[in-house]
Amino acid sequence: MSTVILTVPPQGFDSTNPAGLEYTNAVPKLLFDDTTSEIVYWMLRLPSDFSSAPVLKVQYTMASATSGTFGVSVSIMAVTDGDAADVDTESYDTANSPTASTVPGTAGHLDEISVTLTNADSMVAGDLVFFKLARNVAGDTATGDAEVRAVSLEYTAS
Amino acid sequence: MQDTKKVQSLINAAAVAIEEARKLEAIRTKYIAASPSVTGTPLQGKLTLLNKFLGDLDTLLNSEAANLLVDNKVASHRGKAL
Repeated sequence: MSTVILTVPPQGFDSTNPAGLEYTNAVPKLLFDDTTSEIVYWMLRLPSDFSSAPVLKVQYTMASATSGTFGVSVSIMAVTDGDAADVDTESYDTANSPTASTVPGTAGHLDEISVTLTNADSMVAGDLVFFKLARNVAGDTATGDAEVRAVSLEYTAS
Repeated sequence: MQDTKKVQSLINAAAVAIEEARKLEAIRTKYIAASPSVTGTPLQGKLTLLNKFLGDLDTLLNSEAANLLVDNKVASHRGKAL
Protein backbone atom coordinates (compact mmCIF):
# COMPACT_ATOMS: atom_id res chain seq x y z
CA MET A 1 0.00 0.00 0.00
CA SER A 2 1.35 3.40 -0.99
CA THR A 3 0.18 6.85 0.03
CA VAL A 4 0.11 10.29 -1.56
CA ILE A 5 -0.66 13.26 0.65
CA LEU A 6 -3.18 15.81 -0.63
CA THR A 7 -2.29 18.83 1.39
CA VAL A 8 -4.55 21.02 3.48
CA PRO A 9 -4.90 23.76 2.38
CA PRO A 10 -5.63 22.35 -1.08
CA GLN A 11 -4.34 23.69 -4.39
CA GLY A 12 -7.70 25.05 -5.50
CA PHE A 13 -11.00 26.40 -4.17
CA ASP A 14 -14.25 26.47 -6.13
CA SER A 15 -14.87 29.95 -7.50
CA THR A 16 -18.57 29.91 -6.53
CA ASN A 17 -18.79 27.74 -3.42
CA PRO A 18 -15.38 27.28 -1.90
CA ALA A 19 -14.86 25.50 1.38
CA GLY A 20 -13.72 27.82 4.13
CA LEU A 21 -10.15 27.84 5.41
CA GLU A 22 -9.46 28.51 9.04
CA TYR A 23 -6.41 28.27 11.26
CA THR A 24 -6.50 26.98 14.83
CA ASN A 25 -3.24 26.94 16.77
CA ALA A 26 -1.58 28.00 13.50
CA VAL A 27 -2.75 24.78 11.79
CA PRO A 28 -5.18 24.91 8.82
CA LYS A 29 -8.50 23.12 8.43
CA LEU A 30 -11.14 23.21 5.71
CA LEU A 31 -14.67 24.17 6.73
CA PHE A 32 -17.51 22.51 4.81
CA ASP A 33 -20.97 24.04 5.27
CA ASP A 34 -23.86 21.72 6.09
CA THR A 35 -26.28 23.12 3.51
CA THR A 36 -24.28 24.48 0.57
CA SER A 37 -22.05 21.97 -1.22
CA GLU A 38 -18.60 23.54 -0.99
CA ILE A 39 -15.74 22.27 -3.12
CA VAL A 40 -11.94 22.10 -3.15
CA TYR A 41 -9.47 20.71 -5.69
CA TRP A 42 -6.11 19.02 -5.96
CA MET A 43 -4.00 18.13 -8.98
CA LEU A 44 -1.00 15.82 -9.21
CA ARG A 45 0.91 13.43 -11.43
CA LEU A 46 -0.12 9.95 -10.36
CA PRO A 47 3.00 8.16 -9.10
CA SER A 48 4.73 5.68 -11.37
CA ASP A 49 4.11 2.83 -8.95
CA PHE A 50 0.31 3.28 -9.00
CA SER A 51 -1.41 0.04 -9.88
CA SER A 52 -4.93 -0.25 -8.51
CA ALA A 53 -7.45 0.09 -5.66
CA PRO A 54 -7.33 3.85 -5.03
CA VAL A 55 -8.96 4.98 -1.79
CA LEU A 56 -9.20 8.55 -0.57
CA LYS A 57 -8.82 8.92 3.19
CA VAL A 58 -10.49 11.99 4.68
CA GLN A 59 -9.84 12.86 8.32
CA TYR A 60 -12.25 15.32 9.86
CA THR A 61 -13.80 16.71 13.00
CA MET A 62 -17.15 18.43 13.52
CA ALA A 63 -17.26 22.05 14.64
CA SER A 64 -20.15 21.44 17.00
CA ALA A 65 -22.28 18.46 15.93
CA THR A 66 -22.29 15.45 18.20
CA SER A 67 -24.88 13.44 16.29
CA GLY A 68 -25.92 12.78 12.73
CA THR A 69 -23.76 11.89 9.77
CA PHE A 70 -21.08 13.46 7.58
CA GLY A 71 -20.62 12.46 3.96
CA VAL A 72 -18.34 13.46 1.11
CA SER A 73 -18.40 13.26 -2.65
CA VAL A 74 -15.14 12.73 -4.55
CA SER A 75 -14.77 13.15 -8.30
CA ILE A 76 -11.77 12.25 -10.44
CA MET A 77 -10.55 13.52 -13.79
CA ALA A 78 -7.50 11.79 -15.31
CA VAL A 79 -5.59 12.88 -18.39
CA THR A 80 -2.96 10.68 -19.97
CA ASP A 81 0.07 12.02 -21.79
CA GLY A 82 -0.94 12.26 -25.45
CA ASP A 83 -4.69 12.32 -24.82
CA ALA A 84 -6.67 14.41 -27.31
CA ALA A 85 -8.19 16.35 -24.44
CA ASP A 86 -7.92 19.97 -23.39
CA VAL A 87 -6.70 19.79 -19.80
CA ASP A 88 -8.51 23.05 -19.07
CA THR A 89 -11.87 21.50 -19.98
CA GLU A 90 -13.48 19.81 -17.00
CA SER A 91 -14.45 16.20 -17.59
CA TYR A 92 -14.87 14.49 -14.25
CA ASP A 93 -15.98 10.90 -13.84
CA THR A 94 -19.14 10.10 -11.87
CA ALA A 95 -18.80 11.19 -8.26
CA ASN A 96 -17.91 8.63 -5.61
CA SER A 97 -20.31 9.25 -2.74
CA PRO A 98 -20.15 6.63 -0.01
CA THR A 99 -22.82 6.36 2.66
CA ALA A 100 -22.37 9.13 5.20
CA SER A 101 -20.58 8.20 8.42
CA THR A 102 -21.86 8.79 11.94
CA VAL A 103 -19.93 11.67 13.44
CA PRO A 104 -18.04 11.38 16.74
CA GLY A 105 -20.10 11.91 19.86
CA THR A 106 -17.88 14.82 20.91
CA ALA A 107 -17.21 17.86 18.76
CA GLY A 108 -13.55 18.14 17.86
CA HIS A 109 -12.88 14.42 18.05
CA LEU A 110 -11.28 12.88 14.96
CA ASP A 111 -12.93 10.48 12.55
CA GLU A 112 -11.79 9.12 9.19
CA ILE A 113 -13.80 8.40 6.07
CA SER A 114 -12.58 6.01 3.38
CA VAL A 115 -13.80 6.73 -0.13
CA THR A 116 -13.24 3.86 -2.52
CA LEU A 117 -12.62 5.50 -5.88
CA THR A 118 -14.66 3.11 -7.97
CA ASN A 119 -15.16 5.84 -10.57
CA ALA A 120 -11.58 6.96 -11.13
CA ASP A 121 -11.76 8.00 -14.79
CA SER A 122 -9.56 4.99 -15.64
CA MET A 123 -6.53 6.68 -14.15
CA VAL A 124 -3.16 5.00 -14.62
CA ALA A 125 0.38 5.63 -13.42
CA GLY A 126 1.77 8.87 -14.84
CA ASP A 127 -1.62 10.50 -15.47
CA LEU A 128 -2.34 14.09 -14.58
CA VAL A 129 -5.15 13.59 -12.07
CA PHE A 130 -7.58 16.13 -10.68
CA PHE A 131 -9.41 15.47 -7.41
CA LYS A 132 -12.62 17.31 -6.51
CA LEU A 133 -13.83 16.99 -2.91
CA ALA A 134 -17.22 18.24 -1.77
CA ARG A 135 -19.44 17.66 1.24
CA ASN A 136 -22.44 15.52 0.38
CA VAL A 137 -24.92 17.93 1.95
CA ALA A 138 -27.93 16.11 0.47
CA GLY A 139 -26.77 12.81 1.91
CA ASP A 140 -25.65 13.73 5.42
CA THR A 141 -27.47 15.04 8.46
CA ALA A 142 -24.97 16.56 10.91
CA THR A 143 -25.53 20.30 11.43
CA GLY A 144 -22.83 22.92 11.33
CA ASP A 145 -19.44 22.83 9.69
CA ALA A 146 -17.36 19.74 9.08
CA GLU A 147 -13.65 20.45 9.55
CA VAL A 148 -11.49 18.47 7.14
CA ARG A 149 -8.03 18.14 8.62
CA ALA A 150 -6.10 15.80 6.32
CA VAL A 151 -6.60 14.02 3.00
CA SER A 152 -4.52 11.30 1.43
CA LEU A 153 -4.71 8.84 -1.46
CA GLU A 154 -3.85 5.22 -0.75
CA TYR A 155 -3.39 2.66 -3.49
CA THR A 156 -1.87 -0.69 -4.34
CA ALA A 157 1.56 -0.22 -5.84
CA SER A 158 3.02 -2.25 -8.66
CA MET B 1 -39.29 12.97 7.03
CA GLN B 2 -36.30 13.78 9.18
CA ASP B 3 -34.34 16.79 8.04
CA THR B 4 -32.05 17.95 10.78
CA LYS B 5 -30.73 20.87 8.76
CA LYS B 6 -34.16 22.40 8.17
CA VAL B 7 -34.86 22.05 11.88
CA GLN B 8 -31.53 23.71 12.64
CA SER B 9 -32.34 26.60 10.31
CA LEU B 10 -35.52 27.25 12.27
CA ILE B 11 -33.70 26.96 15.60
CA ASN B 12 -30.99 29.36 14.49
CA ALA B 13 -33.45 31.92 13.08
CA ALA B 14 -35.56 31.86 16.24
CA ALA B 15 -32.50 32.00 18.49
CA VAL B 16 -31.13 35.04 16.69
CA ALA B 17 -34.49 36.82 17.02
CA ILE B 18 -34.71 35.94 20.72
CA GLU B 19 -31.17 37.12 21.43
CA GLU B 20 -31.89 40.41 19.68
CA ALA B 21 -35.17 40.89 21.56
CA ARG B 22 -33.46 40.18 24.88
CA LYS B 23 -31.41 43.34 24.39
CA LEU B 24 -34.69 45.17 25.06
CA GLU B 25 -34.51 44.03 28.69
CA ALA B 26 -31.37 46.05 29.35
CA ILE B 27 -32.85 49.07 27.62
CA ARG B 28 -36.02 48.74 29.71
CA THR B 29 -33.96 48.64 32.90
CA LYS B 30 -32.22 51.87 31.94
CA TYR B 31 -35.57 53.44 31.03
CA ILE B 32 -37.09 52.57 34.41
CA ALA B 33 -34.05 53.97 36.20
CA ALA B 34 -34.31 57.18 34.21
CA SER B 35 -38.09 57.39 34.78
CA PRO B 36 -38.74 59.96 32.04
CA SER B 37 -42.09 61.73 31.70
CA VAL B 38 -44.23 60.39 28.82
CA THR B 39 -46.38 63.52 28.59
CA GLY B 40 -46.60 64.59 24.97
CA THR B 41 -45.21 61.29 23.66
CA PRO B 42 -47.02 58.36 21.98
CA LEU B 43 -46.83 56.54 25.33
CA GLN B 44 -48.98 59.12 27.16
CA GLY B 45 -51.92 57.26 28.72
CA LYS B 46 -50.52 53.94 27.49
CA LEU B 47 -48.15 52.99 30.27
CA THR B 48 -50.35 50.19 31.57
CA LEU B 49 -50.59 48.75 28.06
CA LEU B 50 -46.84 49.11 27.51
CA ASN B 51 -45.92 47.55 30.84
CA LYS B 52 -48.14 44.55 30.18
CA PHE B 53 -46.61 44.09 26.74
CA LEU B 54 -43.04 44.29 28.04
CA GLY B 55 -43.85 42.01 30.95
CA ASP B 56 -45.41 39.38 28.69
CA LEU B 57 -42.47 39.67 26.28
CA ASP B 58 -39.99 39.28 29.12
CA THR B 59 -41.76 36.10 30.23
CA LEU B 60 -41.66 34.70 26.71
CA LEU B 61 -38.03 35.62 26.12
CA ASN B 62 -36.99 33.78 29.27
CA SER B 63 -39.28 30.79 28.83
CA GLU B 64 -38.21 27.17 28.53
CA ALA B 65 -38.86 27.30 24.80
CA ALA B 66 -36.75 30.42 24.32
CA ASN B 67 -33.86 28.96 26.32
CA LEU B 68 -34.11 25.71 24.36
CA LEU B 69 -33.79 27.55 21.07
CA VAL B 70 -30.92 29.77 22.16
CA ASP B 71 -29.03 26.90 23.79
CA ASN B 72 -29.22 24.85 20.58
CA LYS B 73 -28.13 27.48 18.09
CA VAL B 74 -25.26 26.15 15.96
CA ALA B 75 -22.83 28.94 15.14
CA SER B 76 -21.46 27.41 11.93
CA HIS B 77 -24.91 26.60 10.50
CA ARG B 78 -25.77 29.36 8.07
CA GLY B 79 -29.52 28.85 8.08
CA LYS B 80 -29.87 28.15 4.38
CA ALA B 81 -31.87 24.93 4.62
CA LEU B 82 -35.17 26.88 4.73
